[in-house]
Amino acid sequence: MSQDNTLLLELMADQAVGSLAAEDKTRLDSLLAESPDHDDDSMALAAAAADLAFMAALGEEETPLPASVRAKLKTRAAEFAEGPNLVDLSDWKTRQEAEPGAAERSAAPTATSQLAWIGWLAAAVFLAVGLTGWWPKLFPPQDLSAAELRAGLLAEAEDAVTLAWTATEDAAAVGSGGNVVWSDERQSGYMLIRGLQPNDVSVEQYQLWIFSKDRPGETPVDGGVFDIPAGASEVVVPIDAKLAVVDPQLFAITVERPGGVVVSKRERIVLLAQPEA
Amino acid sequence: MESSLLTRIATGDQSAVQSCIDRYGGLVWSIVRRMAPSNEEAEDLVQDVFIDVWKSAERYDPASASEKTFIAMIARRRLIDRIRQIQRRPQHSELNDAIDLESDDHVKVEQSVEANAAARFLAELKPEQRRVLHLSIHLGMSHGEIAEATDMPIGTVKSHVRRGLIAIREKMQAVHSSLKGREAP
Repeated sequence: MSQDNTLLLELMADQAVGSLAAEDKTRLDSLLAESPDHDDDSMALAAAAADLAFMAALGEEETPLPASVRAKLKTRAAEFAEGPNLVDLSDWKTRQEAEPGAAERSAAPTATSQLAWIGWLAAAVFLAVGLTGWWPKLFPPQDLSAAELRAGLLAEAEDAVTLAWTATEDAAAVGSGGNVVWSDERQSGYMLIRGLQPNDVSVEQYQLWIFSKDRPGETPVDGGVFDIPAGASEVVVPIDAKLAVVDPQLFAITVERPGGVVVSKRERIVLLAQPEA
Repeated sequence: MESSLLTRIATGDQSAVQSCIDRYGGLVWSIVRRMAPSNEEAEDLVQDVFIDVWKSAERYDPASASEKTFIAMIARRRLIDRIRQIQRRPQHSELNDAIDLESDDHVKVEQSVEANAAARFLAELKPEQRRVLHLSIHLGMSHGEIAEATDMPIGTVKSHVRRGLIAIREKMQAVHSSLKGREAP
């Protein structure tokens, strides 16, 4: 393998996981232009295949689309089918007809493509039978980090919501963000926090408050005390709700004395997250 | 054998556009909400992904990947683009990188042949290599974030991700070559 080809593959791998540095983008484009036989999508397809493998290994299920999203999509589909995009497709079909053999390569399934599907199906069945036994061993549950458990909650809890944090003007919150994931059904959630100032545990700690719909705003549910370690640019913190939470209206993180408080004076609020009205 | 939905979309079959949502809505939603910054973003992204899928239908080549893997690729690409857009905003962190229901639609993630090839490869890796790939590919963490979370040097993280993906790509290509061989008379 030539040095350029190795570099090309490495940069394609960086791009497939969203880690391609801006300065490498031009280099990648140039290498791809020099290698017209390279399938630009091949590395992204490899990443997608690995993602599907992880989903299966972790026992993640496909979460059905919420009804409201599904309805919007159906409308968009109807617009797409009837709108200007159809003209684009027609143009493409015209081009196909102009290219000898092009229609056979990618229109309705031919005998060859049907054979490909049969071959795939056979291979998939064969591999699935052989693989079932070891998938669970890939990720023993006790080894999962909070970030992985958060992903698992999102994958498994249909009612899980993700709300973006909004930073307040508190000095500790400048440039901070992330989101909070919460499932009423599971009574479980995780905070993903980026850029919040590390705290000195001997002086203060962060504390989460959850404003449950069934409780007055004066007495939110204590969501637990946590720290931001020095040098951590991103943390995922499990929510430790002390009482049942129903349809949370607001999540708020305050700065409190070490160990936390029973009732916050709300003197320093750093991050807030709430559903859109 | 049922024809590919994407092939039908590319040939102007309007019913296939709707069927695509029924068949792949759960997959796309699961991928998008896993990493989206908020539910609102996830809802917008799902629409962007499907429009992209419909527009890209003509590019779909059944000889390169299954339909499912192709659609997962488009979903991931949209998501990565969106996350990068958000992180370019100055008020965000300096990280390089960064989710009436119909219960009877709830299905286990079925595997494509490429995913099976990837899974076999992943199973052979050392746990720390597999973990790096999981954090990068499945959870969307940047090389820097993974280095921080695992205490590995960033060069090692980058190397694990690159080597892993390049190897999975090779395995996929080998599977497809093998399948093409079976088709030969």
